[in-house]
Amino acid sequence: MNRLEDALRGALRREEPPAGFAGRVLAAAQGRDQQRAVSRWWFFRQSPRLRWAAAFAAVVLLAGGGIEYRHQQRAKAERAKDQLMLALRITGSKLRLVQERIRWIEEAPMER
Amino acid sequence: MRIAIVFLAGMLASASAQEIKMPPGLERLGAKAEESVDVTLDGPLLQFASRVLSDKDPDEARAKKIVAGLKGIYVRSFEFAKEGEYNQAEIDAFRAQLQPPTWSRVAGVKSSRGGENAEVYFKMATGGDIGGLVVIAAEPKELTIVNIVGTIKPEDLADLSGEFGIPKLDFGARRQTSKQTPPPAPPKSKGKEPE
Amino acid sequence: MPEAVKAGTVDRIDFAEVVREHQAMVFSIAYHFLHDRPAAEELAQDVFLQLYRNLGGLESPEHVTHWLRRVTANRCIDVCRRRKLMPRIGLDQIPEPSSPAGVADPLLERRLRQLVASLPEKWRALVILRYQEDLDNEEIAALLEMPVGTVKSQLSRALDLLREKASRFLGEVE
Repeated sequence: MNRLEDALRGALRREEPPAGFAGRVLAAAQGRDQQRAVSRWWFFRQSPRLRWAAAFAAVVLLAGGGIEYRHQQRAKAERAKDQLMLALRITGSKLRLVQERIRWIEEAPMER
Repeated sequence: MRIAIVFLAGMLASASAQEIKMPPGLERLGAKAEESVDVTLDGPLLQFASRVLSDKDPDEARAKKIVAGLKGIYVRSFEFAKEGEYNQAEIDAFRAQLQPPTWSRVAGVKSSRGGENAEVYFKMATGGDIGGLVVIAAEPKELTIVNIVGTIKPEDLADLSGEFGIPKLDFGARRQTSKQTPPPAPPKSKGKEPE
Repeated sequence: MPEAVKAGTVDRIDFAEVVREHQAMVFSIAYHFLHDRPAAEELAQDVFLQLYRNLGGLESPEHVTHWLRRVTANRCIDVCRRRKLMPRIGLDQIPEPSSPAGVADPLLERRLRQLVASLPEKWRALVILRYQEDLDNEEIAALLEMPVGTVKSQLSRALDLLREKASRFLGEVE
């Protein structure tokens, strides 16, 4: 096992998909099942208690949306930060390159 | 109408922050490059990014200090599979924007054997600070242009060219430290011109 | 996943369990392949929906895992061929920040992911299945319907290329 392979295992480790992924997949799968969807809608219409529950769920979803928005903003800032760090690292590496070459030439005057 | 004015003002602010214009042909190079980096951070996005920089991480703390006086950072970097993919005339046209007395070419290295050129330009500001920094590094299969707009303190520049972000992992026998080897340019080239 | 799939009879709860159990695997293959998080999520969702339609025909948990890896890898190859995806770094494509324990060098890891995403499609599939999924040459060959010798030689060439590029990135002299 060499170091590159170790590094690849680290870099390619499994990552969880974005939050809510499983829910979205299940919802999409559910959307394909027309018959069940229709029967659920019928059941929902028969029950006022379920309507209240749905209203409550909507309020919770809205509140959750606010939290989600803040998370998205934070994620955007983190991405911008990553770009900033990448830009500074590239700049640093190029400045070092120039410095090192100049230093090397200065230290080896006979070869110029 | 208001939206249009705000949008126009934003465009003008962005244009004035960048001042030096990146060569227009660079946008097309991404399609030819094996790898490319395209970073454009200015105005609110730059400040937005700096707000989440940690004080605990040494690199991020240094970055925070450096970014404090900056208005924009623009980096275009391309790595090609074969030589001659970018147009030297475009690089020359870009370089032509960096004229004295506003800009000073403070360092340049050139290798006639390896075809590797790197130049550093400063825009001088008041009080000994640097008002802007441009780096052009052109190799046969690689091109990097960095344009940093805003005030950089000399000590911040030292930080940037010092230990900033040096990766720590090595790949066994292939890795050699800089102390053990000369820098990448071939040492015996007579074309090198330190300034 | 002992209860997730029951031969011949699949209900919604089973499918939910399959999704939860395999979402990281499917999403990560797609993400490491495409280097584009929204595209990876979309592709992973399509794979699971395809699974949902075909779940009744799958015989065992191992069969489900095998099916998911094969379909995901093949879809990724198809998407890349269609889009001729270039690994560019745009603000929207930068990976979401994550800091799992034990990460020695996030910059290097990101760069390696970019390098993997820049490999030719088949090589990319081999590297991801080998190092993300920890499959051996025989398993990869069966999954991608390739001869074992081809898997071995192409993987070796892919690693050589990655090693060369990674060294170049680090500024090393070879």
